[in-house]
Amino acid sequence: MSILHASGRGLRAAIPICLGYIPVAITFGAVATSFGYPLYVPILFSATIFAGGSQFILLAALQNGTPWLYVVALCALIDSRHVIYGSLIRRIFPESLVARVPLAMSLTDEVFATALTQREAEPTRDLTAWLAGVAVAAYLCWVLSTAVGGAVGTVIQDAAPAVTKAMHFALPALFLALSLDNLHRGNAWPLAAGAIGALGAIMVSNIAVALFAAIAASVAVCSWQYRESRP
Amino acid sequence: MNHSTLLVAIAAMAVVTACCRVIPFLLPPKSRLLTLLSSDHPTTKIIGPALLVGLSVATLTQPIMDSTNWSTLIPYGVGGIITALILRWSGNVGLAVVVAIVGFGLTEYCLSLVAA
Repeated sequence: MSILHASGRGLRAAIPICLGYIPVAITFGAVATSFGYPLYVPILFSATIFAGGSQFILLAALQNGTPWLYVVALCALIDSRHVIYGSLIRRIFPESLVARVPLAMSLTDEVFATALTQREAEPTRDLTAWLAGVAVAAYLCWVLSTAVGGAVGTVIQDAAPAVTKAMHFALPALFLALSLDNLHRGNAWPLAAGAIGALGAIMVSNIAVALFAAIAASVAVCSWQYRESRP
Repeated sequence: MNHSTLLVAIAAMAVVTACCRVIPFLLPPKSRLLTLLSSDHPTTKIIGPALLVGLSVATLTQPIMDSTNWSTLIPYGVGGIITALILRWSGNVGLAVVVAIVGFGLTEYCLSLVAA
């Protein structure tokens, strides 16, 4: 009963993620079928890759004739941030590889951000059930919304453009809320430096560079504070 | 592009993405990378929150910079303020996100009425 309850809490925690995924996945499905691909192609993309940015980049590359191997190599560089994600929350994942690997494969930016809220928790079966709830909800929502987008995406976007546009704010709102939830007096200055670093980087480059700039600036200010506080 | 090349490209991207996600979970617990990234030192503990801040800044500013119209800033600003206020008031991330989406949508709607 406790595990069912924990899974249910995980499903509820995934609601903000799903609100953000639905419009993006519908758009992906609609764009893919508008390129002339049969419905199973965008579904195959979402079911096997499960990474919005990489999927859009690969789809665009395939469409305009960019060598796909080059694009895959570029996405591998962008995805290298997942090595940091996994290292930070590995402690709360189950010991068993059978449970650990599928959960790890579901670690999108949004699932990681939500899982990070539990990083101080003890790794119990309830926590695994909670993680599984978040991961399964996010994955199913992504794949099913892609299928809906592939089938009727353009119809939905034409019928309710205002709702579709409003839903695009879900992911920025989720990341902002989780950032503020992690903010406290002790880490305010390093995180402010990280925000400035990310802002500067996103103006001249892409999201991957912005993430590394945020980490570099935060770590630099944090280590300076640490040195200053030592007698 | 032929069908088999398409399938190979999708499979390659799937393998690359899966490897990046799974590698940290397959490393031995005492590997240097994991020890470095999961220590209790303040400079390593800041990495997770810094990633969240980076994601927030990137996802909030990218649409504004991609837009040619500066009024795009208004709904994103209003949405961000609503997110912060509701989170402070309720302490509930999910509620803050849902109310912010509604606020963002209403602001967009009002702006479209003003423009029309």
